[in-house]
Amino acid sequence: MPAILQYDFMIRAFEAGLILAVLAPTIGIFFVVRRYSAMADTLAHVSLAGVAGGLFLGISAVWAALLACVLAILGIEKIREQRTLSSDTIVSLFLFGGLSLGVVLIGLRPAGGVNISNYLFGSVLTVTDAAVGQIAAIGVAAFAAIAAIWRSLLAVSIDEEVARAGGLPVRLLNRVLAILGAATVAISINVVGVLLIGALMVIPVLAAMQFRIGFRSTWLLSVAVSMLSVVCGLTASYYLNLASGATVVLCSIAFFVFSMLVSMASGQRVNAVAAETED
Amino acid sequence: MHRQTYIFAVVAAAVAVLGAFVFLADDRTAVEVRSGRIDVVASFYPLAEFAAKVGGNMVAVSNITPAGTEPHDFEPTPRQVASIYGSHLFVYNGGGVDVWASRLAGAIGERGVKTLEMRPLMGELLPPVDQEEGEMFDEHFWLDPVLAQRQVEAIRDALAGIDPAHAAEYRDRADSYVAELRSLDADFRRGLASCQIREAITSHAAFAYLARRYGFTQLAIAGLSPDEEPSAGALAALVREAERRGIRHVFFETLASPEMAETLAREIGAQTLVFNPLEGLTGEELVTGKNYLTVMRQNLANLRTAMVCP
Repeated sequence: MPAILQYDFMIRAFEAGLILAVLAPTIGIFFVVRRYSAMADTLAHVSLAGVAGGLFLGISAVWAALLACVLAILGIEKIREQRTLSSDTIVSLFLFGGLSLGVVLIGLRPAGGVNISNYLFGSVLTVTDAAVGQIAAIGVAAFAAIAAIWRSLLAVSIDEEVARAGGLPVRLLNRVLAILGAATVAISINVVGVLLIGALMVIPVLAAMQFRIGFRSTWLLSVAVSMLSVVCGLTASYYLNLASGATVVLCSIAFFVFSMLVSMASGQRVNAVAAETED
Repeated sequence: MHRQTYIFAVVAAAVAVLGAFVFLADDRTAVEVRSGRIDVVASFYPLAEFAAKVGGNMVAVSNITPAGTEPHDFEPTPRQVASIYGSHLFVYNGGGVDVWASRLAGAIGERGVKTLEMRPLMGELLPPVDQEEGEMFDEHFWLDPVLAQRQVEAIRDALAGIDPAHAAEYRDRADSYVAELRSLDADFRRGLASCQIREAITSHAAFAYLARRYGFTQLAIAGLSPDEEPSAGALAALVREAERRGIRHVFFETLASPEMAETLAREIGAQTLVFNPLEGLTGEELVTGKNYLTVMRQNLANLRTAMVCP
């Protein structure tokens, strides 16, 4: 057995990482298509406000974070439906709002906050067995929910107008997706950290999109890229003694760059062939 | 050539690289090199220092939080976590100072490593600033020389349990270090006995135990965590308080930004002084021979200046 698997903390890191590697791009691909790529980071900062508010009101941190995320994401959807602002600007509005509200709420607590961010932003190396179970349960539930409404979600993400004309419950579908995303992020950040969950939602999808291969293939490829990023990243971080979450993210970026180069090379070939045939 | 071929190539290349990486890198770099001594891993500087003093050359102590790093912002790498798994004793503070350690402690304990958490041994936990209630506690126990003695004794007992053959040596070394801590305590008691001012302004509410022990009050600019920002009103209130009491010095700590303390100092025409909370000494400090005792004496000298003690 490789040395890296002698330690149960590494095994748990692989377990948690691989479950998220499947789940994150599966939800993330819908966010990316709608220009919500900053969503994970936004939800993390909204969670900060939630945890601070929870301490203030005496509610458990996880539930407070989840509640704050769901409220925020419903708010984001509501504003988006007004159609006066683009998705990415609304998301950044909530990012700054969440962060500021969190900082103010922390300051309101008379005794001062004992580094709330430390409780909020976890690390993939300190995942417990219970947390792996928790992530697996959320993962299976979210995955099943997405699979059940996959076609409708796809239709809504590609063109809301057409979907609405086709009789799909657009508002309901948007909210279901949003709440699934909020639940995943709110519960994962405390376990694996916002960097990891946020990056896995977005970067593998971007890598896969380089090939313009249709939605389902893009999704499959993005899951493959994200799983490989987790395995490569954790392995590299172990042998090269680097910070784990960040190494996984850098691996996924390496895959993105590689995909982009391959895609450019293939594009040039196609263009060259096209130019030759034109002559 | 089709895009599918390229995609297949991407995935295949990744798998090949990954496989080569796992199996070629295997075992040659494994870290389980036992030193032949008792391996002790401490989560941050003061605990590592105490363990080294008690263990002497019977133990090999490693400190997870690197020199000069603020432990509130720190996260260990896989190697470091692996080194805890390979050790005999893991000593940590508990609570917000080393959250990662509390998260790991359960799993480490199951693997047969003895874990020693200081927080439950420290008696009554204090809120960071007087007169305030809440579930937030100051966890800078090591800054009180009396609680530090209790930590040294806890390390002594843990080492004696792991290595009973050398129990007498651990006891002797612990006794002599406790004696040094007692003399530090006596210096603080004497040094702060008759000061003109009984308040000290600090940039980071870390002195609750020290202040209780020696009967002064800390007025904190920010909260417990060094990167917390104070409100403008709180800063103004501190300025008035300082002027009313004739406070001429403001403390800032070594590992955090001194800006807030400098602002306040300018406002009341005071000087800034360093209070080193010993959460980590920088490499430079360690090289020049600084340690817990010398830094605490420097802190005492600065406190005496600030509180005008004859």
